[in-house]
Formats: sequence, C-alpha cells, structure tokens
Amino acid sequence: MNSKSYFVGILGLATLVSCGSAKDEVTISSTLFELGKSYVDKINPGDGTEAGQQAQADLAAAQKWLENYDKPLSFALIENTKGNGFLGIEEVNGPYETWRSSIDSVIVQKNGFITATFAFGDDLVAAKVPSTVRNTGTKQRINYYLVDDENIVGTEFSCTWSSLGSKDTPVFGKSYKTEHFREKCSNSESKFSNDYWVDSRGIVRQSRQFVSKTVGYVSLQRIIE
Amino acid sequence: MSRQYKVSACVDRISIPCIKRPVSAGAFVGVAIAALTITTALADPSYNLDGMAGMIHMPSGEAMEDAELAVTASYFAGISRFNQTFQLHDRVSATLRYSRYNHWLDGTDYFDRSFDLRFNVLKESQFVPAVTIGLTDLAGTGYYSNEFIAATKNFTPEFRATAGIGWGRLGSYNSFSDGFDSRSSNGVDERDLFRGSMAGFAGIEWRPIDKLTLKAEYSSDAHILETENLDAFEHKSPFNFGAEYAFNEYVTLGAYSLYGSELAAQLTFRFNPKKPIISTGLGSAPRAVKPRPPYAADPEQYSTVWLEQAGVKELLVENTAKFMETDRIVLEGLDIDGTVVEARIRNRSFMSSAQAVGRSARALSQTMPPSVKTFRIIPVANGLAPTAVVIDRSDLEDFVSRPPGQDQMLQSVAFEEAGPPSDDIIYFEGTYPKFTWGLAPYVRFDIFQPNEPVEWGIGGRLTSKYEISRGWEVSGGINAQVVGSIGDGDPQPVATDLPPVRSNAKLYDAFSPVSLTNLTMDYYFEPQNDVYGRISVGYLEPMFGGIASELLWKPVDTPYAFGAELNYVKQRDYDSYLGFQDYETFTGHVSAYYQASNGFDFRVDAGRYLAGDYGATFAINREFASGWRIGAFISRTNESENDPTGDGTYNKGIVLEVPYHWITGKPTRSTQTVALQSTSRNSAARLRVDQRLYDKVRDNHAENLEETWGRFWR
Repeated sequence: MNSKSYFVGILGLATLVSCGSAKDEVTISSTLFELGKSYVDKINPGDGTEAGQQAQADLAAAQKWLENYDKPLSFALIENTKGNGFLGIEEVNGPYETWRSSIDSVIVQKNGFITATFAFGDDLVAAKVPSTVRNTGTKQRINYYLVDDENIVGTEFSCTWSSLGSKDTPVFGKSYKTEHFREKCSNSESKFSNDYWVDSRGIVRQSRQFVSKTVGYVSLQRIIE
Repeated sequence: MSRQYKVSACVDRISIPCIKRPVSAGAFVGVAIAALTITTALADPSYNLDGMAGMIHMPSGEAMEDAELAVTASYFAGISRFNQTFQLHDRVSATLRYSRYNHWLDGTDYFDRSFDLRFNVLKESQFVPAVTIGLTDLAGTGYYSNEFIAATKNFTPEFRATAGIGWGRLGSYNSFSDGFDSRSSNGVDERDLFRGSMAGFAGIEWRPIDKLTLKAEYSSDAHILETENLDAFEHKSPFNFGAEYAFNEYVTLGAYSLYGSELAAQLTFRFNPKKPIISTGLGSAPRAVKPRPPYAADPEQYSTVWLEQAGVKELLVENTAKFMETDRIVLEGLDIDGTVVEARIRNRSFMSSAQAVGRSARALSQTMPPSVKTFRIIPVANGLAPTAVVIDRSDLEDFVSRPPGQDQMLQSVAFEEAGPPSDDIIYFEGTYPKFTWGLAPYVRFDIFQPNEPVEWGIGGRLTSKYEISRGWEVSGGINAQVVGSIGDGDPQPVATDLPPVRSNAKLYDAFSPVSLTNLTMDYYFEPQNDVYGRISVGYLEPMFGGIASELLWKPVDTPYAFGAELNYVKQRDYDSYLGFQDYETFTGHVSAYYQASNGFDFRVDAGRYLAGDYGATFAINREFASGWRIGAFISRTNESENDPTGDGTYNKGIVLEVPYHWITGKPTRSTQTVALQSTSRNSAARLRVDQRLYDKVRDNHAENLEETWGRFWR
C-alpha cells in the first residue's frame, strides 16, 4: 500500500487492506460521522437551545480529537441534503487527489477544484478546470455528466473570476488568513457560482462548489493538509 | 469517439436559475412574422384522450421526444382507455390502447385492444409546421379505426395551433368530401386506409403559466358507435374544451368538457428510459486507480522477481477477489505472468458490463505488482467467456481523472476473443463448485387480456443455482403467490383443434399458488471460436419439460449472429409439480439476429412451434444502455388463421423490460419484465427458455461494451 494512501473510516475496505485493524477503522468512522453532524449543527446552531449547546460541546470534543490526528483530512457538506462527512485521501495520482468519506462517497479534486464525485447520485463525472483557483478574468470550464442514456456529455461554461479580498477563515477551531476568489459560471441555460478561500500557502482551505443540478453545492474545508 | 457538448435544459424544479431565450428579432418586424420565426416549442407536446400526441380528442402534428414512454388513463361517457405510447424513433411512435366500454350492445362490459402508428413526416421549422400521418387501430377490431394528417405550429412559446384532415372516425362529422373511395364499416381492412368520408379538425393550446395548459378544439369524430349504437352520450357540439395541469415533468392531470354533454378526465404519466427518474449514481464509490511509481524513480519495483516467491500468485488471487467483492464482482481466477494478468470475472452487480470491467481494472491496479502492465479482463456468464477486454495499465492510470477520460480509454482498449482458460489459471477458492440461492418478492401482471383488464399476483420466488464446474450448472425456481387474482376462478380445459399447448394456461395458475417454474441441468460450451452451445434438460418452463439444445454463431465484433435450436419437450401436468401429460413434440427454430448501432435489435426465428405448426416470428427491440428494453413481436404460422384461441391472424405482443437500478439508483442486474401478449394462444407458441444464448453472449461483446462505456469509470 502506498504510504500516501490511507482511508479514514472505511468500513468495507477496512477488512481488505493490510494496514490498520478493522476495529480501529470502524471506531474512527463512527466517531467522525457523529462529530460531523455536530459540526453542521454548529455552523447553524439555531437559537442557542440545548441542542445548540450540545453541538458546541461536540465541536469541542471534535477539536480535541483532531489534535491527535495528523493525516490529511477534509470535511464535506452537501447543502441540499445536509449530508456530511470527513474525507481522507485514498489516492494521489498526479495533480488529482481522491478523497473518500466514511460512507464510501468520493470526491476527486485537482488543485482545490472538485473534478469528479462518486456515489452522490447525480454525479459530476469529470471537469476541465483552470490550473489554479487564483484567477481573475474569464476562463472556460467544462463539466461532464452521465446523461442521455448513459452518455457522458460535457456542458461548457464561461466563468468570470474575481478576488473578493482577504478574510480570516475558521476551520475546525483554527483560523487561517485567506484570499477569497469567486468563479461565476454561466451558459445560455444555467449558471452557478463557486467560492474558494486560499491560504498563504496556496492551500484551498475552504470552498463551496457546484456539483450538479440535483446534488447542488458541496462545501469543503481542508482541516489537515 | 468525438466529444460532445450539450447544454442542459432548464427545469423548473431545479434550483439553477434558468436564462430565458432572447426574444426573436422578428418581433420587431411584426407580430405575425415574429410568430413564425419562433421555432422552438418550450412546452412538450401533450397527449390526447387516445394517448397520442394531440389536443383533447384530436391528434396533433407533433412527435414526442425520442424514446419517451407514456401511460395515460382517461374516462368519459362510460368508456375507460388505458394507452401506452412509445416514441420508437425520432419520427415514429406506436400506441397500444386498451378500452373498456361499461355498457356494450349486450349490456355487458366490453374490452377492446387497438394499436396505432404515427409517422412525423415534417419537423417544425421556421416557416413549416410539424406534420404527422397517423394510422389508428391497426390489426384490431377497427372500432377506433381512423387515419389522419395533422399539422401543428408553435406561434409563440405559449401558443400553438393544429389543423388536420381525418378519415374513418375522424372523417365522420361534417364531412366535406366522400373521399377517394368507399370504406367498409369498421375499417379493419388495410385497403380501407385513407378511404371514405373526409372531415377537418382543428384546435389551439395556450399555456398562460408554466404548469397550466388550456385547450379548445373542433372535433371531426361524430362518435357514431357511442351515440347511435351504444347510446353512451349525446353529441351536442363538435367543440371540446379542457385544462391540463402538469404537477411536474412526469405527471399531468386534465379535465375536459366534451361534445357539449360530457365531462372527461385524464391522468398522464410520461418518462424517458434515457433519463432515470432517480439518479443512478447511488451505491458505493469505486476504488481509486492506484498509480505505479515512475519507472525511473524506482526501477526495481518493475522487476518480476516477485514471481519466484512461493504462493505469491495464490495471494494475489485472494487479495484481488476481496477487492472485487466490495462491488459484488466475483473473481473466478487469475492467470498471471510477470507482465500480463488475465482476470475472469462474473458481474453480479452492474447492468453495464463496461462498469464491471472498469471496477475490476481498478481492483487490479490495487493488487498487481508494477511489472504487470496489461490487464486482460474477461467477463464470464454461465461459463461462457466470449470477450477479453485488454487494458494498458499506463493508460488506465493516465486517463482515470483526465476529462473526458472515457473516450481515450475506449480508444486505448482492445476487445478480443477470450478463448478458453489456460492451464496456468489459478481459480479463487470456492469458485467451483458453488451453491447460491435467493429469495425475493415478485410481482406478476397479466394485463390487457381479452376478457380481463388486469390479473395480478404478488409472492415470493425462491431460486437456487449449483455451479458444478465451468459451464455446468443446475438451477431451479419456485414461485409462491401470496396474494393476487391470478389463479382465481374455476377454469376449464379449452377444446381446440390444435394441441392445447397454451390455451389451458389458466389451469396451471389455478391449481396451486406454489409452482415449480423450472428445474434444469444446463451445460454451456464453446465448441469452437465464435460458436456457443447450450443443452438444458429438465423442467424447462412452467408448462413444458424435456431437452433443449441451441447453437449460436456470434463473433465478438460483428453486429449479426445466427443460431439454431432443437428441443424435444413434453407437456407438464397442470399442478406444475413433477408429472407430465401425454403430449410430446419436437420444436425448433433457426434464427438470425442483427444489432443495429442505433439501439435497435432485430431478430427472425423460423421453424416448428409447440403445437406442431410451422411459421416465423419477427421481433424488434429498442434497447437502451440503461438496460431498458422495449420490443414488439409478430408471429404467423400455417395454423394462425384457424386458431380460435387467438384474437387475430397474427400472434403479437409487446414486451417491456425495466431495470431495477433505473428505479432505485443502486446497482443491480435485476429487471422487471412486463409482457402484453396473449398467454393462451396455441398457434405460434414457442418454448419459453430463459437460457437462450444470444442475449447472454452479446452482453459482453464489443457492441454492448461500447454502448455502455460511459460507465467504465463509474
């Protein structure tokens, strides 16, 4: 197994791979999943009720747990469904990183862009994207989907990039100085807007990216690089 | 494969803001010219009460979207109609109609089946309307018999108008001509087409808001049968009015005022096999392709010294099998040398064989040492392994994430004849012998029969299979109906001149809700290149047992195939247990198959049928990469005209096969088949054998793999 390749809480795969025990993997999986739910609550804690307080407590527990976790880790939230989970890097192939969740959903990223999803339903099959999210001006993007009787069809967008300035971006209790970039894409039939927050090391620390019509937007935070 | 770009359509229920099309420049010239220059109808054509593209009762000149399938149910004046319409092709659609008259001439209910064909001869363009020619109630009783030519033009995105001329029923009100010739009373005879009185019809449709369409039409159908013979309603006016509300893109409800005296309603459910209602990307994500380290960085890893380790091949087989198991792909075995691995797999999960091959390639990328640079993946079904998909590992690593990588990958792979396994293959422990079984619910419908609209049954089906060795297997199935109307009543044997091979079908259903549907020993073999064979012995189907044999010639990369089968069968007892009746016979056919590249599959079978009659069956199927199949067949034998158990000269039917993954979004190879056909006709009755070779073999052939290649990376 490649040293760069590992999984965070993959129940099915834990029994197959030679590294790590199945028991530990399951424990990590369920722990992170529960923490993820609390984190979503924290993002929108409501009116400070008991649930909100519990969410804050859970978040504190998550932060404590993460202090002892040192492998690349991201967090994803599907806005439409509130589905969420932590992601670990499964594989690195050139500029492409395959991130897998504890429930066997996968996001492929290239330089911070989501270029493919798996097991989300209406998945993004592939995407042609710019080389970096630090862009201005107009760039082209092509999103590919499996449509029209299982054919992969590309939808081309013209995207206008802009920098919206610097801000502090909190990610699981840590704050990062980031520059906010916005990618506004449209064609004759539809449009969407993606946001990227890039820290001083060039890491896309946080993003909100459009996946597909039915999946909608996915928010990502890079917790550990 | 060339790259395609296609802009997604605006859909109301989706949150993406839709951009309105710009107003045509013609609007500045004048309203009339502007209307003519707007050529795109933003609203799909709607279905009329006969289930075809139209207004209220009258047809229109438009065609539905290619492959659209619609089921409509309508009611007025004591007449219920259930229509199924399929847009077979961009320009051709077919409708099967099942009507129930609550009060027929003798006071009883009457059920009528009719069949329509429509040809869209002109597509709408800037100055030309869409024009369609329709033939209604072909090969039926003729009660609905009519022909028409209709033209429809969209004048604005919200407004369209239709005008047309009709014959038969549609030429019966306010006829303006006696037509070209006389017409027989019911119009069954094909020589009557476009004969007799002619009359005009017209109508308009207006969509004031997105989901609501208002309609008005002038009908040229005098409804002579319903008003004069059946006294079902009074024809006071030729004008009809209606309103239709579309709940979403699938379901529409309409209410109408008809002929100045009646109210009517229609529910329409429309969908397209090309567009799953549920996204089919659910299920677990595939494993990542694991890239090898660059050769220059670590050349030692590309050594084949690992081959010298004791037990290394067995370990690789075990590891690969476990990786594939997560996708419910069964690894039969690996044939490994230092640079090439041949993997024989069974796909138990994915409707698309290409997807199973893709997932297997990912697994091999995880387990095979870097020196293995070629993957030869062979899908196996029932011991038959027609095709090897040869994959260059470097290309797999390069193209996996590079958009649109599926095109480059398809150009990179080779489809070869698989050939038999070598002596060096290492089978995964437990591959043979292997016993599997399953218990699953089933739903059975016998619908649109001559005297009963729907018979149904829900129950459990127990299946089992014992795979003895490669190609040898024993399989069986037991159905137990728990609830339903199938088997109700006290059916009696039907006396016919022909042997009652199917006419006593109800006796089989009525005896017991539990039946042994099949129990056979099967042997599948490949006697030589491109030739496949099958011999089955036992209880072949619910009504017949015996010995069935088949040979098929089908090269891996040709769209055509030829086959022959010869069976000796004996009719089973009505209890569907183990006994047989006295009737026994030889039956067999020679077959020719052709799979066109546009999704159409044609087949002709000629030979001797179960009742000893001789004839031929022609079948056409529209097949989709998703696994949907919509087909029709027609048979005629030397006994067809003399067979009282049939409802016409030809034995005919329509078959729909719906893949469950299209409904659930999760991977499965299970399908639900719905057949609209006579189940009790003795002539042109063919032995029902599930194991026929053509579909089994071509599922893994180049044509099918390429057709579903979009799923290779999924």
